[in-house]
Amino acid sequence: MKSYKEMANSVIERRDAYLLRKRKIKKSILQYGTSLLCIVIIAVIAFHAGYHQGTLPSPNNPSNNQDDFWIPSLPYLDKDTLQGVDPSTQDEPLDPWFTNFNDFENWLITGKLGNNIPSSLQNDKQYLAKWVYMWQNADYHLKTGYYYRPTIENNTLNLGEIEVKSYENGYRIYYRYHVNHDTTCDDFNAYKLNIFVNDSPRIQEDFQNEYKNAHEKDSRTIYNKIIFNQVTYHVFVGDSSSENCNFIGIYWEQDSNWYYGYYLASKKDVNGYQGVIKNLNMVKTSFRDHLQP
Amino acid sequence: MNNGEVNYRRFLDGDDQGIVEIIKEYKDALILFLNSYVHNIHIAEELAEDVFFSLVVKKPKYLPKYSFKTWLFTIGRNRALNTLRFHNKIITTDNADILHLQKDEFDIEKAYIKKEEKIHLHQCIQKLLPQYSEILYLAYFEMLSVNDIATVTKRNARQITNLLYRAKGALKQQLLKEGFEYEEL
Repeated sequence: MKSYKEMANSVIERRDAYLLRKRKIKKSILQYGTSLLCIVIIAVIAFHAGYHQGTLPSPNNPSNNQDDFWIPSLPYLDKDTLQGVDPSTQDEPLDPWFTNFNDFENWLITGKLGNNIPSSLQNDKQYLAKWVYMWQNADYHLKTGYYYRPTIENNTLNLGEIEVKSYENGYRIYYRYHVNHDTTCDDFNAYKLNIFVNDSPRIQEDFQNEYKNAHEKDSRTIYNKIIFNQVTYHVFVGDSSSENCNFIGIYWEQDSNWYYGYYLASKKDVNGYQGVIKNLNMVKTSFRDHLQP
Repeated sequence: MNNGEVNYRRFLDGDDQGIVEIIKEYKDALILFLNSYVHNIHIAEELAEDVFFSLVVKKPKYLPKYSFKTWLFTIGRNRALNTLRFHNKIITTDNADILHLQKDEFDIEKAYIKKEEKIHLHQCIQKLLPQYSEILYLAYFEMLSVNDIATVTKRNARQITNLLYRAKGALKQQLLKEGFEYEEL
């Protein structure tokens, strides 16, 4: 049996050990709690950033809603190096047209099209190259949704928006180019590049006819057939007087799929941006009517 | 203000010597009281230590409505009953330990109770039903009033009076059985 001194010592020792343990637990909770709180805050911020990106207003797409929200998964190419590939493409790397952007740009400017490109397209052709390049490196198995790629170029904020619509037998991809212009202060939305992927022969035929007709009607339409890496690319440069718009069209067949694209550039002589939008939308509607699967 | 209360206040003010004094004053009484529940002096000792430990860690508020001893014994009783309920058992003891336990129990009885007659009386009380030994111990060894016993055991005063009456009868039978005569009863 313990004496009262032994029992008192034992009680006090137990008390000290208990308080020490309690302090350690409190310290751990504080440390882990702080870390957890940071993670939660970062997650909330990241979610909201993505959420707002995914719900940007899109005048040309009134159906844009939260259900269409999609976390960006396209490869975000670095502006300068154009490096960066969607991780989903790493397992099954595609064979790109070119191993770097400069090769493709040189090909586009000097190799085949050269000076035939209208002056109004000279400043914009880079976008075509970028997005075609991007498309070549992208994961083809895209889901319907919106992908945003904000950039700042020439002191303007550009919100590149890619809309992907997947159909039963293919994809349709739209690239919209929001520009927050610093002088007009007007937000406007224009279609810069639409790429369609579909294996429907009817669409292939319709598309070819579209350019064939354009070529016949408009002497300024230029057609080039380029064979590269055993793939034939059909490239058009058009200046449609009826649509009051310049464009570059491209289509090719690869892996039993047909890929179509057209790049719409702003008109050099227009009555303000609204005119451009109107005309671009007309072109867009015209193409959509023919290409709707 | 009794000693227990003064020492408890000292402890709450940060003086560990206060709890040492409390342990010194109440340790043996509490062990003997708890032993009437668990019938194992070592477990009773552990329980008593746990009671003091809960005092120093939880620092429960003492209201001077009852004496400090009554309050302390109430805590002890709750703990003993919780232990018995938690383990859901009657604490058993190996035969080899019985002699050792009896010796320790006798030592603490001797240290606390001192008078030979009272030691025998305590031993007889321990052989009674738990509810009898509980209140007889509180009444005749801790000298608690009926009201204080009622507080500790969570019964009303009338129940305690009745129980005391029956417990005395049982104790008398036990004493006669063991050849004692205890006239004070």
